[in-house]
Amino acid sequence: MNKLMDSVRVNKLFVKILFSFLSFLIPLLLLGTLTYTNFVTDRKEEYAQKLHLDMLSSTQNVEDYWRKVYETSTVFFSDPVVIRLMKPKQDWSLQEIADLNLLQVSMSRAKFNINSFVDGFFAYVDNEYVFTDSGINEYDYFFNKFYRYHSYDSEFWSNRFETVRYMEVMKPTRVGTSFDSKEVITFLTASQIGDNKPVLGVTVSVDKIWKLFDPILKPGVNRMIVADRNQQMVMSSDQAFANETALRTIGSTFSTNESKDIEVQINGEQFIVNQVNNELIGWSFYTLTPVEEFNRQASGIYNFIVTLCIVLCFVSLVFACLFSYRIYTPIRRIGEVLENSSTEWNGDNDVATRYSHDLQHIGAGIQRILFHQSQFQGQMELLAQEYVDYVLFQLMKGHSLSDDQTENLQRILRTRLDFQEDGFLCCTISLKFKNRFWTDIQDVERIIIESKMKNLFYGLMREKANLYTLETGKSQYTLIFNVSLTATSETVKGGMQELADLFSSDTQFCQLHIAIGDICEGVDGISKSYRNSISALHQITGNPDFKIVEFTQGSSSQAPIIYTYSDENKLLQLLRFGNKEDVEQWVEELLRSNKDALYSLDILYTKLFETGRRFLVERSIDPEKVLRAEDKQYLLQSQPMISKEDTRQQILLNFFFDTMDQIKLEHSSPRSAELASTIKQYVENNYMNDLHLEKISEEMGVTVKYISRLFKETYDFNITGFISELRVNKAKELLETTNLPVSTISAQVGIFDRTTFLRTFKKLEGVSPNEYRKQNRIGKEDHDDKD
Amino acid sequence: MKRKMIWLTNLLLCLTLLLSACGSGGNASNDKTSNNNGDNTQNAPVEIRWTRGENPAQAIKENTPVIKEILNKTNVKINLEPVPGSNYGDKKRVLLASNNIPDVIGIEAGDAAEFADTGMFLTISDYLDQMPNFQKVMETHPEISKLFVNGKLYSLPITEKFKIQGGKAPMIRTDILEELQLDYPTSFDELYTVLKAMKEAYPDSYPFSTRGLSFMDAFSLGMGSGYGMTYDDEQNRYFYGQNKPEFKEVLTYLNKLYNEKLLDPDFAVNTKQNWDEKLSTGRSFFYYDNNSFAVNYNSTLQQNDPEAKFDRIPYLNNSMGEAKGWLYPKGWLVDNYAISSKTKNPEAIIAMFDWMYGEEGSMVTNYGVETETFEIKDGQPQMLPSVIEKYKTSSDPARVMMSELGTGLLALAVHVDESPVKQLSDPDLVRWGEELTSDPGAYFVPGLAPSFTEEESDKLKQYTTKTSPLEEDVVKFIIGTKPLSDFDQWASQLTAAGADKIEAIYNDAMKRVQ
Repeated sequence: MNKLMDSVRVNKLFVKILFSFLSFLIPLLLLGTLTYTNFVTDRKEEYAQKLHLDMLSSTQNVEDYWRKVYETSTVFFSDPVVIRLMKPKQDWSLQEIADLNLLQVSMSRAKFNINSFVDGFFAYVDNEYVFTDSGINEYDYFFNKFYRYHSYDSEFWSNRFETVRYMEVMKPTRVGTSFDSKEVITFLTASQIGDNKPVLGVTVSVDKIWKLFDPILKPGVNRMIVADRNQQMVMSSDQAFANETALRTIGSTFSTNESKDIEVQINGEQFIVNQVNNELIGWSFYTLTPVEEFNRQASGIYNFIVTLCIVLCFVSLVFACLFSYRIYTPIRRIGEVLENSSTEWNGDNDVATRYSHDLQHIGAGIQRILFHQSQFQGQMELLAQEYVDYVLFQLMKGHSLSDDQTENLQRILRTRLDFQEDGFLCCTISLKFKNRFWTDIQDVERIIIESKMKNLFYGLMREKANLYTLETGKSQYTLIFNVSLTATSETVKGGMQELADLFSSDTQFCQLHIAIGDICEGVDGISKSYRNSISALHQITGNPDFKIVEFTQGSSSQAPIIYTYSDENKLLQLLRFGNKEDVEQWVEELLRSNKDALYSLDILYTKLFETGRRFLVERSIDPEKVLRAEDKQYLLQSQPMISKEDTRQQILLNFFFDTMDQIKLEHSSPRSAELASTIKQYVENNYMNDLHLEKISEEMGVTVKYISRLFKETYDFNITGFISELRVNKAKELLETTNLPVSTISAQVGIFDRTTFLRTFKKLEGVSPNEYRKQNRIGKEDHDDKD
Repeated sequence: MKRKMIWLTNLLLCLTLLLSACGSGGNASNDKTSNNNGDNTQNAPVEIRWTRGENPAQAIKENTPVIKEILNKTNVKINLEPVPGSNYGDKKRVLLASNNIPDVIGIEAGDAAEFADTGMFLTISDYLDQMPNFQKVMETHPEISKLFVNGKLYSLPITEKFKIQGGKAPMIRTDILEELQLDYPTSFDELYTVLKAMKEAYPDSYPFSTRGLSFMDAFSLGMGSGYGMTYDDEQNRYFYGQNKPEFKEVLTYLNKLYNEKLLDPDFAVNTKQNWDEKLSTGRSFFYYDNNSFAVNYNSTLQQNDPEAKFDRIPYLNNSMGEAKGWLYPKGWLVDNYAISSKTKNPEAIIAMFDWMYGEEGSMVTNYGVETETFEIKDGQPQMLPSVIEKYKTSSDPARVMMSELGTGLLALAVHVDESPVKQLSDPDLVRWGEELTSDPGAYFVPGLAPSFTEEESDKLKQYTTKTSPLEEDVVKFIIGTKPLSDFDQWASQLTAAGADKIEAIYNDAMKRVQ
């Protein structure tokens, strides 16, 4: 239950997902509204059109009636019998009286065509008689009884033949006969026959007229109003309706043109009005359709749409909740996982916990993971690299590897370095820097060059074959090529030549000696090939700027001193971990193997001493302390001394023993941190001068590369950058406070090349030193003024 | 599994949504049109058009209770198309001639014979086995046999179940006779004297009035002559009245009346209403026409003058000392209904007519709707007192009632029962009926002319078109614009025009039937 509550808890993410589902409803609602309004409009239009057509047809029928009546009356008055006999009673001759039945026949004939819709048909010419198709009626009887107009008496009719113009249409009036009463429209025509003006009356019942409008009126929804030319009402289909107001409203809204649908408001209800005018009669027919009707029809679809919308809303809500839950829960879980893991790494939860479920922070968490992963990856790479380095180094030294180690190495070589071949060729490059290197090149750049030399060789030779580069000594690099056993070293040689060409322009700065060894098989062959290359290297006599040597068997007339890196490392190891007897034994062994090189033995001694000294410095122990004063001169001198070997050997051994004793005392001090701080201090104290880090590294028995790496590891800062920064900050100070020229300042901070100084300054500050001085000068002036 | 369930329910939900939407949407759009099919009975009623002439005495109304009841009982919906009587003849001829008759058309016996061979009429005789009621009626009306043309019956006559006997009879204001201390005239000569006396007493009046020439047949017969094709029951033959010397006497008599202003100068052209008015308002005191009209005149007259009264006098003796009456024949066999052969559902119409000839139908078409307008009392139908009350005050109670209800001879009844009329009737009417029957001069005129062959019909048409214009001179003789001395010439003109030949045709046709 709690879990449910948890997940349903209103939360930004959850609400977002919900609303994105619900936004689906917006187009639906839009569509629905559009459909509805369209439907209503369409229906209205359709209906109005149909209505108009119906109206036209019906009014046409009305017109037909009227026309027929008119024609009948015309025919009637032109009938010779009528002309002869239609006269006042007193004017009749006996003959004419006898023929009166003919008049009856004439009337009957005249009525015949219009019989279907006509109600009354009468004619009169005086106040005595009214003629109909069934015979003669006395005037008074007729108008008072047989065909009595409720609103008019017989007086009215006797005036008609004075006033009736040629044709007159009377508005609907109620007429009563013996049987019933009804509303009729009377159509009066008059004619002049001799002195007389007979009048013919034809009546059509209003019901018959309305019957013509059956298609419009039958559904019971529409109402019709008929108005004459003066907008006076003639008749209406619904007596209960507010016809007068309607007519007035319509009159004011309409112009005299026919229009299809105009909406008017009558007594608060909306109506659509359809108008048809009839020219013959001069009447206008209006049909009023309540707008309610359309809405009622449309209400069907309206209800449908509303229902659909509501149902869909509901369904979407259900789905939204459902899907939100389904999507949201996993996300929340991820968030939780990240939250937990982030506490492990970062320790700061305050921000994380509150929004741990927020997608953004989940993303951040994932990024952290990835970052760490890449970090570790990098570290792993580095370690792997170091391992390879280390193992290969061991091989160089001549250590034999265990079977496991060999296997691992082989695997690593295959997978990491893509060493597929079985053969290995070592090529040693010795780089000796000349004086000019140290004087002409800025210290910072020197460090960079020295650090990157290995990468340079690798990059250059990569095309030739798979290789691996090692630093095997001071400015000494070994390139291990992986070639097939049957290949020749021609490619390598060609590559070396290229390399040499590259360096040919830099002979002022350095010497380049390249020794190429044999192709040897297997992992063991690596060390063998290395040794070959070293011996080949030692065969280089004199100090040529440039030399490539290939190893050949049976060279070396003069056995050189062989004191390799591996030898050195072995010594170091023994000093560290071994006992004194082993050390003594090893030194003797070494000396014995080099006994042919008598003339350079003291070089060996010197080298051995160096090794010991470096050993101490690495442990931040001052070698001066360990070294006995009297022995010092012997060990430090590099000239050949004619002294007893034994004495020298003993001194060396003593030195070694003392060293080992010392180490036992102080082996718990962390080396690298102290070394790093030493370096830093040295830099901070000496940056204004040219930093001879090579000297330091020599003194401390480490490589410049090691120093940079150590510095970076400890302070997370590039040593070169650090040095530059120190210098630039000092330069800034000087720029602000003094008026010294830039070149002077440059020298003072330790960058002896002005161009280099400008470059460095701009790189770190973004502006040139002069600009900087200008900017800060102004500020300073203000500052001065305030003071 | 859970997921599947959810999907299924969702799908179902959507489907139901769609269905309901379609349904209601469809309903919305169909809403308008669905209203029209309201009257769906189990079987749709058979709708028929029915046209007939309308007698001015009784207006034909269209949505009467009788029509509704006929629909109820026979599932036939009658759409009435009445035509005013004066026009009906022409209209009818047009319809017949153009072979464009509605489902049921009112025709005369002669029309049936004339147009029988066109095939436009349904052959009723083919359906006789489906008409048990009509067969019974045929037995009581032997003259129906005259309607058969070549052995086939093409129309249905209006028959009589019960009739208050009426006739064209001399009706006079007996109160004025008393007033003037005049004896009831027994002969035409005495009539002349009486009329003269009336005129003297009432100089503004025209004692004798007619509604056109419709009185001539009865009047001439009464005077020992004839008018039109007249049947001589003694000699058992038809004769043409106008060209006989006896007719001159009639003309002379009437001319005398006209000249002495005893005859209404408008006699030839009076509308019935006009004529009614004159008699009802004391402008005329005597008429020789349907005796039943007097009932209305009396009620109108008595509103102002309770003593006023029209009453029947026995048939007058003619110059030969004989009285010859003119009683309406049994049934109204001249008036028929024919059914169009093109009608969609002849059986339904046949069944309806047969029902109308039967007990129930006859009751409905004469009385109206049971419990609404009539009730059965002692086994006999009687109009409800409320209904009678309603119409008692009308000018012509019986006719107005029958007009509103749609009952009676002048509406739709084919087997007429005048008992309702009797209820509403003035007791005088009943009395007159009995008197007429027992009058020494009582004479029932034949109901139907003999049926003619096609050839005979054509010939008749030929001759009558020649004689009719001449017949118009009757009015002239009476008014005096044509001197009576021209009578002989006129008579021979008539003969020349074919009057004898007409006689011959009639008599031949009659012999065939007998």
